[in-house]
Amino acid sequence: MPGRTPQQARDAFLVPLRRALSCVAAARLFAPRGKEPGDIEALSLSEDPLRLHSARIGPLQFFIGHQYKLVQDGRHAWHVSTVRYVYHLADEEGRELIGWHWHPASSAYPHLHVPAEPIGRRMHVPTGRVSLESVIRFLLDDLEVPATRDRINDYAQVLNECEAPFVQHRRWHAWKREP
Amino acid sequence: MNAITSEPGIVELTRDEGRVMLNERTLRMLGMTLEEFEAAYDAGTLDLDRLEVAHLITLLPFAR
Repeated sequence: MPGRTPQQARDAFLVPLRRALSCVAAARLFAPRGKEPGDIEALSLSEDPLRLHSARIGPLQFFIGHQYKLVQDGRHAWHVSTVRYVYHLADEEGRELIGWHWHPASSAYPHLHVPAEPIGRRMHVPTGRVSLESVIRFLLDDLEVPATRDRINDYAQVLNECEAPFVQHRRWHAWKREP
Repeated sequence: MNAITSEPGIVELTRDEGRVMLNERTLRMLGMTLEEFEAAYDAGTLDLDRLEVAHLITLLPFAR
């Protein structure tokens, strides 16, 4: 997400995410203060994990972890680059149901963990890069988590609008193995 | 805590505020203080298969 200053780039990243999250929760979005461009930053919710209710599978816990950093593109251009993401859904007792991960320090490619025997949750099922908006859309459309009252009529449009800058400006989607 | 944008609901945490937030979470999710969590992380002794561990590691920039 580009900007002419580090703050503009940070806002261009955080504001759509907060708006997308407002489709399922009123929780506040936390970000660290005082980081310098290039430092690894993180985001989190004031409610952690986020407790939701799926009409299909019952109570859910949604863990959102995301790291990013500000990168300079040129003299007057900055963008936010994702460093790591870890999104999990767990049941009421904390048992993992599904996890979307990209943590290149230990596993180069984006992947999914699904505790479905006989494959098991330790396997890394390859995926493309997954947006937080797409996970929220999965919660709403597939798991039938109710939208918040303010977003009940327009959540699909809001998610599309919030995801659009990510899709437009992402530097990669499918992970490419270096030769 | 200061709002960093005009968008309601986005809050910037100082390092001290981030450490308080993360300490509450390591205690609640793992039963250890933030200091104990950081020491275990630096020593490589955390159980990385636990979803709470993977989650909390991702939040460490709030504390550092």
